[in-house]
Amino acid sequence: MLNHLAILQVIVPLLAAPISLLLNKARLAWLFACVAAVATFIISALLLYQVQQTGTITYDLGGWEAPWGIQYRIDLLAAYVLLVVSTIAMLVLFAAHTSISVEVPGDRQTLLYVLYLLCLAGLLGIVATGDIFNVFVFLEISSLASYALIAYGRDRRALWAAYQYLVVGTIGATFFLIGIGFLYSLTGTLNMADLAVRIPALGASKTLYTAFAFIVVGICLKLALFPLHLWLPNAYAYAPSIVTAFLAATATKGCRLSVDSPRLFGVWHSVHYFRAATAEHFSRSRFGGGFCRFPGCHSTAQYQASFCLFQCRSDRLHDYRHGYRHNTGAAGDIAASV
Amino acid sequence: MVMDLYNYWMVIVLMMIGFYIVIVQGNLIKKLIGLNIFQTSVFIFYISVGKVDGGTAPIFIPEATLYSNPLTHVLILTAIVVGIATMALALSLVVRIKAAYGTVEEQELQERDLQC
Repeated sequence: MLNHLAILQVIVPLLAAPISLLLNKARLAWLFACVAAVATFIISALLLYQVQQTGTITYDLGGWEAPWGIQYRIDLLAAYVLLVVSTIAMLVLFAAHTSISVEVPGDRQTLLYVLYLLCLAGLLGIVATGDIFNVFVFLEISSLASYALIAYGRDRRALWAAYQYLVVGTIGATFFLIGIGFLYSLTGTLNMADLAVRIPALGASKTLYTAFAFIVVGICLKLALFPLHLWLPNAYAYAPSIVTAFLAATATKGCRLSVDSPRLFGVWHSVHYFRAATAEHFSRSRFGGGFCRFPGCHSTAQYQASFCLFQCRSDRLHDYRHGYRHNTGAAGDIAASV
Repeated sequence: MVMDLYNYWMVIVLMMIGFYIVIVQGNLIKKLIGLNIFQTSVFIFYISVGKVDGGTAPIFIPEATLYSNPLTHVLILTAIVVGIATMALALSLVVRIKAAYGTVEEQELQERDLQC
C-alpha cells in the first residue's frame, strides 16, 4: 500500500469523481468529495514524510521502466506542492457546501463536486508525473474541468468567460503539445529526467529554441502570465466564489507555476548553460530555484484562498487587482528561476 | 527540399489557417472550427515525426523488417480524445450562450453585455 502512494495520490480523486456522480444527491456527493479530499491530503502528507525519509520516490506505471514507460517522480519540491494543493482543495471543499447551495441550482450541485474532484486529480497529476506528455494530459483534464466549473457562475457572462478561457487554454495546450513534439523528435524521449540529461548533450539548435518557445508560450497562456492574462479576470469574477477560491489558489498559481516552471525552466536553464552543464549543476539549479520560490508561492496561494473565501462578493475590479498581483508574483518567480 | 517535407509545409499552412480563423472570426462556432483545424495540424505534425523512411505501418507483419514509430500514433490518439472532449465542451458552452444571449456573434454578445 505504502509503495503505491505516488499513484494513489492521483487515482483517489480521479475515481472519487465518477463515484460521487453515482451518489446523485448534492449533500451526499459533497460529503463523499470531502472524504476523498481528506484522503488525498493524508496521502500527500505521507508522501512528504516518505520523501523526507528516503529521498525522491519514483514509481513506474504498470512496471514499465523509466525511459519507456510512464514514471511518476516525487521529489521534495513536488511533495510540498502536492501537500499545498491537496490542503487548499480540502479546506475550500469544507467551505463549499454553504456557498454552493446558495449559488448553484440544486440539480446541478452534484456535477460541480464531480468536476471539482476531476480538476483536483488533474492538478495533482501534473505535479506527480515525471513524463512530459502525461503533464499535457493532466493539464487538459484539469483545464477541461475548470472551464466547466467557471461556466457554473450565476451570471450569463460566466458562460462567455468560460468560452474565452476555453479557446485561449486550448491554444496554450496545443502550443505545449507542439513543443513536446519538437523535443521528442530531437531526443526520442518523453521522460523529464531523461530529457534533462539528453538536451544539454544536443547543443543549441533552432529546433530546440523553437520547442522551448512553444512550451513557454503555451504554459504562460495557461498560467495567465502578463501579457497573456486577459482571459483571467472575467473567468474568476463570474465563476462561483468557491471555484475562484480553488482555482486562484491552485490551478494557475500554486500548481502550474511551481510545477511546470521548475521542471521545464530547469531544463531550459540547463540548455542555457549547456556547455558547462553537468548533472550536478542541473540538480542544483532546479532545487535551488525550487526552494527559494517555494515559500513565496505557498504563502500567496494560502493568502489568496482565504482572501477569496471571505470576500465572497468579489467584483471585477478586485479580480483585476488579483490578476495583477498574481502576475507580479508569477513574473518574479520565473525571473528567479531563469 | 520543399517537396520532401511537404507534410510539414501542410502542417504550417493548416496551423496558420486555423489560428487565423480563431483570431478573426466573430462567430463562436466558426472560431471552434478554426480551433479544430489548428489542433488537427498538430496531429499531422506528430504522425510525420513518427514516420520512418521505408517503414510500414506499426502493425506486426511477418515479412516486414522496418516499422514506423508507433509511439507518436499513440500519443496523438490521446491528443485526439482530448480534442474531442474540448470540442464537446466548447459546443455545449455555445448552446448555453445561445440560450442566454440569443446570439453566437462575438460583437453582438459584447453589445448585449454593455446594455445591461
